[in-house]
Amino acid sequence: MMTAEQLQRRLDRERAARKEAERLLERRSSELYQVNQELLGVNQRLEQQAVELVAAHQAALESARLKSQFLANMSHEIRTPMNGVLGMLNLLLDSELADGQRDFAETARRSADSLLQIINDILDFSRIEAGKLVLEEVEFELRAEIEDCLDLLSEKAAKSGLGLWCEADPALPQLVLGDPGRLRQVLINLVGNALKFTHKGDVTLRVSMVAGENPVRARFEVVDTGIGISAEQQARLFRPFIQADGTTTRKYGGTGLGLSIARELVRLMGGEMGVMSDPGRGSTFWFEIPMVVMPAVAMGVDRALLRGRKVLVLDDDATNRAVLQHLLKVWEMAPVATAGAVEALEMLLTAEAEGAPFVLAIVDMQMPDVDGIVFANMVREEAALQELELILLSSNGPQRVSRSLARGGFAAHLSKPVRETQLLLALQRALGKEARPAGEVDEAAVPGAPSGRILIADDNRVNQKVAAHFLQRFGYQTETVANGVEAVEAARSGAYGLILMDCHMPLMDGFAATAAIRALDSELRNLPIVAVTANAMKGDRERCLEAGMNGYLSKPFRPQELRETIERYLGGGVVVSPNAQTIE
Amino acid sequence: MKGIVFTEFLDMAEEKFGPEVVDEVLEASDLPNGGAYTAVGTYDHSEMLRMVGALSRSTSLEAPELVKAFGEHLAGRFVAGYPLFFAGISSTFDFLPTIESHIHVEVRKLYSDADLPTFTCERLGPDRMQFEYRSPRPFADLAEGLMAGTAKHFGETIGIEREDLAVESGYAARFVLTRMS
Repeated sequence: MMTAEQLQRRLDRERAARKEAERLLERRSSELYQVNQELLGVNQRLEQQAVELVAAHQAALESARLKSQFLANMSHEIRTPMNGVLGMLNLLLDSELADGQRDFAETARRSADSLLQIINDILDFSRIEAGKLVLEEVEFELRAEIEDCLDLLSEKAAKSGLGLWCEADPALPQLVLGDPGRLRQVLINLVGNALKFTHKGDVTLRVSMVAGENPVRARFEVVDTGIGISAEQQARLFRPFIQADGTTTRKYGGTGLGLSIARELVRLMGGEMGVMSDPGRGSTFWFEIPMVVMPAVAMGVDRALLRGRKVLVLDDDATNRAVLQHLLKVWEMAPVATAGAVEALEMLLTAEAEGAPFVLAIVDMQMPDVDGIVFANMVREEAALQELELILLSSNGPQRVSRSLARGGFAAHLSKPVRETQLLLALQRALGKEARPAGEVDEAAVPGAPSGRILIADDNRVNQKVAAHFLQRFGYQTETVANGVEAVEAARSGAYGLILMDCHMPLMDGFAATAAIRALDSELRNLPIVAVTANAMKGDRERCLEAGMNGYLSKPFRPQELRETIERYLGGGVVVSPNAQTIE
Repeated sequence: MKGIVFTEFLDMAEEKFGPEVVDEVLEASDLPNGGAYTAVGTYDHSEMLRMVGALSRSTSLEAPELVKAFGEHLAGRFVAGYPLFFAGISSTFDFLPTIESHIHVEVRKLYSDADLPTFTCERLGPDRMQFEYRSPRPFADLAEGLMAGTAKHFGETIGIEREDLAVESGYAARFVLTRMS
């Protein structure tokens, strides 16, 4: 048993322990209170920050929206005067000019073209950034699209003394679904870059099928023998505003946006893009995209017309000879190739004498000793070769050669790189039969309407003038009105085969005028109407088509675009010069 | 050292040897607070060493044996008082690593001034584990007792071999645990 003294000590200890515990508890409580107060403060600050963040987020969205709106307006505002500048320069270049003046005007046009390219790049880039770039989905001829691109760049290649080649897999589908304009943009960017950064050698566009039934996966490779790109440069290459080398900005120019736009476009198409390069030896830019194959429209090729026919290929360039021979063999023709004009003439004469004559010769324009024109004259002087058909091949733009065409008696003129479809058309033409895709029907113009007269409805006098001049050059008669009311009135007269309609006009805009014409109770309501607008933003095209317009041209347009669009609705159009059977 | 170690020590001593012995020990130890310990306080570990020494003299039991026995007792108190730390764990070898990774983490949240020993576990095989104790205080015996108590809680028989690491015994030790059943 504990003694009273022990019990008392124990009681004292217990009491002291309790007091100590209470003191500690009190201290803890007050600490907790402090901490709680601090937490309340922190919480308040966080809530305040959340509110501020929401506001900042909204401000950022609003700012992005305004930026987008601003760009749309800018696009309109810049394109309208650019249309005037480019149009007038084109007209100026078509007029009589002294050499110096022509040089000035051409420089001005090149500058205007570059400016337009820069504007387009910036607009594309902003649209991609804003997620507003939407791809078209239309049927198009893949091969023709590829060939068109190369065609556009062939003159540039020739000027730089570079070879430009196309190696397209024969198995490529004919018709695919996609956005041909954007595909063209990507190809032109890559091939254009390759030409820009290559000083000697060749640029080759290789197109092959890598996988798949439908959709197929097509691989495009642009191979050059240019300056090449180091590994570090490759890593930065696709970033916007950056070029492989900071100094290249000065040496080679450009916005540095092209490649990043091209890559984004390929991404939007569901594909990928990359580069392989060996500095000093060249680069290969490649991309692969899935493509939905559409049922093919058979080309109206009469194989019997080509089969077994003897063709002579005269070209000093071995690669070009090989390419041509390959194509001709695919079509079961019997090609023989040579590099020398004299030798070629001998071969032609010998074959004739032996009773197995050549029916056709494909002749290169630029050859060292005897050029294509001279050779043609040599042929024409031989009585035995009067039946021989000639096709001229050159690196120059078609226009420049057209005068020599008639003199040389060429059946057709093709520009390099040689495009399969065009060569085929030329062969058919030369051998006596027009080829056209089976099933293609001209869109009928309004019955009885004079297809040669076009009404221009535009309130801008510069634009009126530009369009009128171009159309007159193509052989059309034009009349001009300045608003929608007058346009409808003119349409009712039945004097026009087509209306070129500006969308934004005073009194009545292009959309309302179109609606009024479409509501007429005569055949005139079917009058073809082509919209012209400076708004190149997404949605405009749809809006025009919804309003009942047949086609759409975005300012500034090139003469050729205008002509192609017009002819689509007027069924073939007007022959400008019956002598020049230039295939453009 | 946390107060709970002191109050649990005194509770155990009272239970095993009676209140008179505890009173004697407290009187003999000449403690700053006269032995008025609370579980929520923090006290110097030298006070514990003094009490252990006094208890050893009062009972004629070796101090290390007393501390080991206390460790076993303390393990049982932890199981009763902090069941959450043991929930979902079914063996000593699963539990021991959680002392460092989980329990000490929580203790530091509650007592930012806590100066805790470090435990390092290494599994040597399916039935063998190495456990290293390092502390600013010489309580390797307490750690050994705690391990024994833990094994008891999980109903396991575990052999413990001990190797003292520090020059002055008790500050650091390596234990190799072998599970028998």
